[in-house]
Amino acid sequence: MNALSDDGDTRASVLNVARGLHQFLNLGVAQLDAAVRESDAQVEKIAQSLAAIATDLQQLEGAAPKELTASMRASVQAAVKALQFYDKLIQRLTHVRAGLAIPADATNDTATPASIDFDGILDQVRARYSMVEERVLFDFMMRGLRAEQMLKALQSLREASAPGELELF
Amino acid sequence: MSKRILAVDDSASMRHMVGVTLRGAGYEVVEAADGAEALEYARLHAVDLVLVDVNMPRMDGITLVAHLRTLPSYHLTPLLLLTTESSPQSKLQGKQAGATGWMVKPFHPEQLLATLERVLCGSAGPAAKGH
Repeated sequence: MNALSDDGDTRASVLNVARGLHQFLNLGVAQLDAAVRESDAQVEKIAQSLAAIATDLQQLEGAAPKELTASMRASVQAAVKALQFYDKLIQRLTHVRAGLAIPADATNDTATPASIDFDGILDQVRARYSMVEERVLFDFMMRGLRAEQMLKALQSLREASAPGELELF
Repeated sequence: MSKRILAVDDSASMRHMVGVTLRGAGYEVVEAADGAEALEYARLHAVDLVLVDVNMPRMDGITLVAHLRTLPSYHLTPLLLLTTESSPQSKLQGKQAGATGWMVKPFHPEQLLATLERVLCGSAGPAAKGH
């Protein structure tokens, strides 16, 4: 009788952990959504301002000293390159969001831990990644590397990659 | 007459960055937020070059390239993929779909302009292709 009761307690405890995990995953999804929405609007304003400066610069060409326009053009180009990292960040966050939302959906209130297909979840999460860096990090995680080891490996990968690289077919 | 570039990216900030770079160099830039919107535009209008992101909602860049290559007026148009993706498998998919080239983001403005100039030199332009 006691053994049956213990089994029931264990099962209830596991279900509580699963529900708690589900709530944490959903919280992460909501926080990411809110952060991306807020920053999207601000980055859009920065991009619009930069476009306006570039348009003004075109009108200055010929009228203002060459040194000034050349310096402004270099600044605009540097800003154009730097701002593209936001796009990369958003892609990453979108994939992190999927990495939370997929297990959140799989661990909804009606699911029992035994019925969750963890391998299937991992496959779905990895399939969302579109950048080599993301896939490599995922594979490192699966091999049991710690966060600092993964970041070190990622740094080497970044040094080997070539942004702006062109390949004509 | 300035060359017309169709810039396709679901990120508004990226479209701005491409627009700033290309308009500053005298190109006419038309923007589309995904592959489906770009394809709709391309069916009705002539463009000299298409600059396409890969990961987009509704229709991704590689699918767009494949669709464009089926249009007679886009058989020779340079179609460049501009993306954060750099895996050999994705590049192969782009090549098989008919892309002219693959450029990894983030781009440096001068590098992008040099690339466009290079691929546009070998292109006949839309007027010569029956538009």
